[in-house]
Amino acid sequence: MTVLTIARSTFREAVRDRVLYSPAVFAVLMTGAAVLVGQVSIGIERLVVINLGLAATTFFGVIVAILVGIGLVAKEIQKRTLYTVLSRPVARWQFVAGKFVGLAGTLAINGGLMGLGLLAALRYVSPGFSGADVWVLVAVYFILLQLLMVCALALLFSTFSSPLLAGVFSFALFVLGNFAGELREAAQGGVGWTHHLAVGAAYLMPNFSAFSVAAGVAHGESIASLLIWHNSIYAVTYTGLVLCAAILAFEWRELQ
Amino acid sequence: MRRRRVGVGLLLAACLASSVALVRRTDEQQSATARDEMLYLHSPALLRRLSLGHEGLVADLYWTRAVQYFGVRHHARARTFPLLEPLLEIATALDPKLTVAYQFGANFLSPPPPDGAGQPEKAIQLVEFGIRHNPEEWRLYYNLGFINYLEMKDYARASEAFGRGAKVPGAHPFLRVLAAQTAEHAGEVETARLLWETTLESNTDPLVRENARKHLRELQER
Repeated sequence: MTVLTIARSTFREAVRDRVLYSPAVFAVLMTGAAVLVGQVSIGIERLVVINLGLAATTFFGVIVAILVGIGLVAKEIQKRTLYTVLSRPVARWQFVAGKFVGLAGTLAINGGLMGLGLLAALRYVSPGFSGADVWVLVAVYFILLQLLMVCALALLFSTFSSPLLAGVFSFALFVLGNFAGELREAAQGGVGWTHHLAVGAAYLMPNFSAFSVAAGVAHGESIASLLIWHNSIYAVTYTGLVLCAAILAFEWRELQ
Repeated sequence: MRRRRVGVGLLLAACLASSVALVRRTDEQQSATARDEMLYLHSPALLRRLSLGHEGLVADLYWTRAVQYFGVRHHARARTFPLLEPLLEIATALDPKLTVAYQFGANFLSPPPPDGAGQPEKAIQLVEFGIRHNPEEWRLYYNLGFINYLEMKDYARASEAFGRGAKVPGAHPFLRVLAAQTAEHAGEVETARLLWETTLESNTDPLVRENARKHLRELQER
């Protein structure tokens, strides 16, 4: 109950911060791109709408997840509202979990609206929906899963560092996560304890490379149901791991 | 207060106008060729990594750049297109399913200048790469046969390409006719007319259709 109360308050705060403006910018960008590409290129209107739409959903979403995630704890300390909250019968884990749930809800609505914007733009370039549009929605779902992981990372870093550093760390991990496959391959090359250390570090990185399906769905290719299950379970597991670390870090943190 | 706002607004407009004028002046001083002929990143593998999982979007951008590059140079009646093949190679390596880049790219590459880049061998390589990744696209076999017939004058290969295309499910029925026609009546005007008529009939793009009409008119005048 306490977690949900904090989640609701976090969601309201994000809405007050005009976080949900990004889908409006997104819709304008999509429509503009669809019209522009029709004028300057040949035969790729639909491809551009899907590819640009998925890329924009990712990058707008990551920016929102990081910007809101890194400020969650720091802002509460700055405004001294954290002390008021924690002086009540609210455990620290409940505070972290509530903040995460609230932000996850904001990101889900944000991403959902951008997904609808993408479908509307697709409707503009090719009238009528086709079966392949379902895979575009699955790609949006994969992006939402990535955003949850990025949001959890931002929250983790915000529990023990400044907002600026937390933002840098979170974005760096988002970039590194896209090279996860290469990192694991490179880690295999070491010997002795460096090998184990490198392999451990490589597996600690979020594996975003498995979530990249944009190029395929743009051509109407289907996504294997096994990949949908794997990515869903991986995102939940990894987010759980990072949230546990965030709760531990917040429990150990001295608040004065 | 109001006067200050108006003053700041006027200053803003003046700064904007001045910066736009300066950018335009700088653009005029740089030669158009110097701007066009820059290709900073040549490696599709590097671009794939830099795209952070959105290589399809980067491929679309490179394809659009190839279209713009060809369009601008073609309009200027240029006789060389040094960046066309690398741009097409990058676009198709990043997104091998981008069939439009093979179909139109081959048409940009193969005709002799100033209609194209005069690189039919490169066009054939491009289309064969496309066929390897999209064996179900009958139009690519048609493009391959077309280039072999009209630009390379290799009628046996043209007939073979049309024949392979005819076996693809859903292929245009004319491919079978073209395969037989190119094998039996190679080099004849009637065969060339048939090829351009098929292009006219099977394409919806206005530029391609206009090009086909132009060639049909030229054949009629012979």
